[in-house]
Amino acid sequence: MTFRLFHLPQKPLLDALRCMENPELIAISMLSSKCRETVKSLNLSLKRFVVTVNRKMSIYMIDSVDSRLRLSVSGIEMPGFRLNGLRVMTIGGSNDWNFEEIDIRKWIENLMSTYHCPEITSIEIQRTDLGELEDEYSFNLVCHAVEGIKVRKLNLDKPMNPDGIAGKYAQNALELFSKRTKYLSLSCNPYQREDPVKIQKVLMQNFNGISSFGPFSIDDILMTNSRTLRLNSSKTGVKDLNRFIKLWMAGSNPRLRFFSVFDREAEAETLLPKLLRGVPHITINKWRTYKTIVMGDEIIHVHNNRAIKIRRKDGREATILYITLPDDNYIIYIIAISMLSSKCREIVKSLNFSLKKFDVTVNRNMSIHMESSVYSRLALRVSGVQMPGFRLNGLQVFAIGSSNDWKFEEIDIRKWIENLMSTYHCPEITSIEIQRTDLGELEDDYSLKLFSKYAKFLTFDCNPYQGDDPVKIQKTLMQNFDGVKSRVRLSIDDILMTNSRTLNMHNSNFGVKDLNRFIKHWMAGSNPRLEFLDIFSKEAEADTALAKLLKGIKYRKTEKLRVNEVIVMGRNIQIKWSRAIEIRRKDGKEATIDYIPLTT
Amino acid sequence: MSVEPEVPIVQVEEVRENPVLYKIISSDNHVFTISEHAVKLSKTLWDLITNLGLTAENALDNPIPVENVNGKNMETIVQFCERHKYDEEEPEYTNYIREFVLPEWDRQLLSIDNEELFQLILATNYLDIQKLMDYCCRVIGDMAKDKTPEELRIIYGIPTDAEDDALERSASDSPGPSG
Repeated sequence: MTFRLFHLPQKPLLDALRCMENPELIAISMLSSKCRETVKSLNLSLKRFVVTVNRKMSIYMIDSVDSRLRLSVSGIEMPGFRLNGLRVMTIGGSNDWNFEEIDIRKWIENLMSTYHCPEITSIEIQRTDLGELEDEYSFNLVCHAVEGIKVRKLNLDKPMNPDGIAGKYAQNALELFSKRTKYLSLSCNPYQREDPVKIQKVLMQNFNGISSFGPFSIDDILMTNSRTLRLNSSKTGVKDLNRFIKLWMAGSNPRLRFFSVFDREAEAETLLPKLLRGVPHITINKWRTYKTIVMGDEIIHVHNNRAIKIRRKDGREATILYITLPDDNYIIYIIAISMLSSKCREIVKSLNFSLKKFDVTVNRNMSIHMESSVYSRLALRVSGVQMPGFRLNGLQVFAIGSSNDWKFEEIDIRKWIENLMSTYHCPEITSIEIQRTDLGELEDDYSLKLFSKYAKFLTFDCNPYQGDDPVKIQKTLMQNFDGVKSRVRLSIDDILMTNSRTLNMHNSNFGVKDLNRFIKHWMAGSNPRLEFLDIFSKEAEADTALAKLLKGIKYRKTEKLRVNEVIVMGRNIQIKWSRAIEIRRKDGKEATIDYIPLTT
Repeated sequence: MSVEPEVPIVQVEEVRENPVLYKIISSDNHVFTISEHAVKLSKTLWDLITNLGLTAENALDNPIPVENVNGKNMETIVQFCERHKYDEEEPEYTNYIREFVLPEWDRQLLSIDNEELFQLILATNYLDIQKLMDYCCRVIGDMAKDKTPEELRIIYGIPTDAEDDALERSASDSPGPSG
């Protein structure tokens, strides 16, 4: 006997789904679009979504509560890359699923959308010389499955022969992905025997991090434009590194914050004089731990008792650390620290703080109100925003119990907001409040035009188009909002133009006749997305209001105690009613009307 | 309000520690007594008691009719509330209620067939008893363990997209309510 899960009211349904593990949730989300939307509304998120391509395609997911899940995709059939089976592995065991054929790409997109995953964390290409046909198939599979989807890291870590088929395969992968990934991890230089210009074209992209077993020449390194660069083997000798340091001090590799290289020198004692020949520097003999983050999430600790400080001509400083290893191997680290904030930001970011709210208020100043997920409150008021470059050189910081003024070097306001959001892992601005009133040319209609196309919810206190052509406000209202809350008087025609899921009209002053007209329009099919309408109406005689409201409308009265849940302006609200009027529109959709007579 | 019971009163558990008792009448006219601590687990009932101004003196003379819950479900609910009335308040689960194991007593109580469980959840939702809701949901969640998509389609009676569309079409063809 079946359990009618999807006939449950919304709250118990979601509670029941939250009791399931990831494999079951994925399985349910695959059953129908209604199921997928319901699982999606649980707001589950992932820490990692890794796609590995070898003989099969595997997907490795780590959700934000740390349970691990690996989906190994099998049964992909040529020519349509269609999937009819999966092996699902979790810490506790594995299970084989068979189902109707699905396109692999559609399946990956569904999975990412269900888990609100904006990008693939990493694509790991693990093919090794298995034959040209198989490589071609596997490469076409990757193209089909993930082309156009954002990818954070490309990983070509598995050792491969750069001269063989796998080398060609790696070159294809680099050409396909290197322009749209932030991080690049390479087991080798797949263009080793070819024209160096090709690998340099890859390296000169604005990566956030490159990690490689190389080997790269110093000219290749000088072409990189990555923030962090870690070379585990290199063609560079100490002389080359000396040349690199000199060029860095003259201004090359401006984005570089961290560089490490692992190499070999015949005589360890002569290493330092060769490295620093002709380089102005100071030596600091002190035990210290240096900590930095590379490739987005790997923390590198270096303990050393001697550091060499150098400074380039634009004032940026760097620390050079070197460690000699047995067998005359050595590692050299160059850590540029003058842009202290980027290093600090990565470290603070790794604390995984998150926010409940990131509200931006624009009045005479711009203020940012942040509410962290552990309830502490913090408001930042941005001052010193300078035209024309919108650059910021000061902040007033308010926290519970204190306020403080900060002054710093100028930063672009947009970059600053992006950094703040990235540090706190905040995917979107929760709310933008525009509080400008008649201060000049920057009027409210400008803000409405600017933001209404991206926002899910719209709250407004005045109609900037008042007295003007009503078509303008209707153009705003007809956007697909999830919720609109208005304190201005709109006409019934304005409301008929809305396409929002919920509407709160808090300062409306409609007559009951207007509402009767609206109900009739709704029953005939207008406002098809509307799920909730909260509206005030004024009528001289409360007793006759209901009769007028329902004139000419087919309805049914009910008097049982019911509880409904609706999501209004992003919040779950519960409505309890003991009497209500039910109506049905011609497409079968039903609505419940309740009314509360007020004394004034 | 007083209603003559048509069936004998079901005394679920004698309450010695707290003398305040309330009477509840189910939709099929079964009468149940429940202690104050137990009834507080139901937000709906407790709101009703507070709004009606029921006190220790007049509580038993004013039975509370609950028209949406039948006697069978009410009996389970009263048993559950009496069992858990002194439990420590648990933190509210905002997003995840995953990590807990159902106690044996409650597993026995909820070992009922699927339709009965469905009706019990509707009643629990109506009476707003979070703990019982969490436990019922755990039972539903456990049904899904290690099942494949097609097995889950059968267990939960989930229609395909095509079946959903057909259902919607047939709903829109049926006549609407009339006044």
